[in-house]
Amino acid sequence: MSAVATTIPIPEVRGVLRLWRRHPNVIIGAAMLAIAVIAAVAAPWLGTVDPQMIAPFNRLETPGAEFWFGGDLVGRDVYSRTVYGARVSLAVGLGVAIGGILFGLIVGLLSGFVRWVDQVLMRVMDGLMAIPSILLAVALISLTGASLQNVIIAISIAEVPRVARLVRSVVLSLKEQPYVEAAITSGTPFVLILLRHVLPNTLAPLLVQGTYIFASAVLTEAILSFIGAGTPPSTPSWGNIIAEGRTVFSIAPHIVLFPGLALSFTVLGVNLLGDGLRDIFDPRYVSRT
Amino acid sequence: MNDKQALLSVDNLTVTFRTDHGVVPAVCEFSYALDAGETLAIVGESGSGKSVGALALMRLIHDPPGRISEGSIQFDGRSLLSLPEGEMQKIRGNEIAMIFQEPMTSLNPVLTIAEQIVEAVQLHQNLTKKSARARALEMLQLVQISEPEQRLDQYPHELSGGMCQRVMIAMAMACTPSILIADEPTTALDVTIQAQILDLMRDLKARLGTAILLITHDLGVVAEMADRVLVIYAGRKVEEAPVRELLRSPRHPYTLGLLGAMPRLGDTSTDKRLTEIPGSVPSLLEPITGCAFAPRCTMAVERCHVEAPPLERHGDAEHVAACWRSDEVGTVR
Repeated sequence: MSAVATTIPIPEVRGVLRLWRRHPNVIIGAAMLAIAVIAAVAAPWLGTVDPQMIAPFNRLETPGAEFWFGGDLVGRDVYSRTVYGARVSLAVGLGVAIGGILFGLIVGLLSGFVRWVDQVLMRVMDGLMAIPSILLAVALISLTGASLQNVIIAISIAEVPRVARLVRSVVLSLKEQPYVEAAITSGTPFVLILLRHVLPNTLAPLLVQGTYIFASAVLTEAILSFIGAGTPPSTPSWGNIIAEGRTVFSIAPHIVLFPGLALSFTVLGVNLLGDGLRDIFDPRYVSRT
Repeated sequence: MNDKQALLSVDNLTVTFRTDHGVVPAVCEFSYALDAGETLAIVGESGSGKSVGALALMRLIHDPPGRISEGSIQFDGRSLLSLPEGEMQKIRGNEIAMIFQEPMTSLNPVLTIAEQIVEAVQLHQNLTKKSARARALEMLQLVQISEPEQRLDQYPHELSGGMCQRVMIAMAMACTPSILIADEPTTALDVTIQAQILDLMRDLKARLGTAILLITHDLGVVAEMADRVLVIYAGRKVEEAPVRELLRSPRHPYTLGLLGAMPRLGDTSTDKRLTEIPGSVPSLLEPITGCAFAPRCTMAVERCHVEAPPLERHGDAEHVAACWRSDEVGTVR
């Protein structure tokens, strides 16, 4: 590795070109995610009709000039449903990423710093981790009832252990850092050490982890909706569109195809972004150019 | 030991660590005094307990496994070992500050220099952000860093090791502490920077009247900085004397060995090789009978292995040494 590799690349406005050269994944991923976000936010103005409007004449309509993605079993416009479906997916992804990180952060910071709490919390986390996250989410939703909010909470709970473990490991290594000890010797109170010296140093790995959580939450939501345990049918989501189209897959594959493509596109974009961010934050991965 | 009231007096301090193999006394019946404005050097090799002694002073021994099992520390009329933690926090960084061996990693990489000094100042002084920043700039000027205004908004990775140590000193001195503990402050720096940092510390001491507790294994640094020297071996004080007295006529064979192992500039006799001390520091797990240094000592007699020598006064200077044959040490040399 040359000396160049040790400079930390900070994205500046004029540095976008350099960023593109060094970490094209970040730009591609961010652009893909941006497209999904725009679709979700601007859904009513993107040539869509009411996604719940039933039009029996258009049942299983093939994709064409009038119905871009065709029609579904009851003649609803698949294009409109797919675009509106982005709302659910992104809301779940963002909600879970924020919720999971927030709770994981609290659990992780506490267990990293307080020994007896560590013993208790980490065993609980191990227990949570032992249950497959989809099963856990299904169980939680069957207890609370299907709604967007409950889906977010259920998937968040399943993600907390992973974040908590990450934060705990970062805290344990930070605790031994000379600058943390230096802060203690200069009389810094515990809370301030946590907020000023430990928390900021956990943000980089958390941001990367957050993108992965986002991607996996989008997928989990689709799976839950697909098996009917997720977003209620009154709201179009990629998972429930695919679920409804599954029965007629052999004669009208477009109903499954388009939301499936949208799902893959979004998850791929977020993962690319996450990989790129990890490369930027972890100096060991910095390119050797 | 001292009749007049010292700024800091450590009396009979014993710090033990619980390990899987038993209880280890890292520092044993350790006593010393530090007067205001004085520089006391604590010298010893790795594992001799010199850093533990300093951390105990700040009450920063991790408990468990460490424990201050005995002794008292009097600072400015207060007993540090019985103060509540909140009071101790007010002393740390404010009245007793500390700088470390690794300047590059002793600064938080995600905060700018200004943010870190401002934090150190605001912890103990009731200043607004603006005046704390002004104080930070003033401190950077005091430690003679180049282009202090620009440094304020830089991050630690943009600075060299020597500059980082200057920043650390600026942070430590920002609240004008009465004691600065310097734990091997120049070990990680190259020689020319070492000299600059030592000059700076001497200069600040003269200007601000701060007492310095210098922890080091480098007798060259000791000769340049210290007023008095305390030699520690296996957690015990073996010799203490004013610096000139100690360098000229050591009274303990261990001190003599340390001096013999130090190359001298201008010594042209090429055939004279540096002497080394055979063996290594004994394990503190087993109880030590007799003098801890006896197994490595070239002058050891039977009595040394059986009976531990007490600290005894030599001459009219405040020179104490713990050796049965201390009167002969000077002559053997």
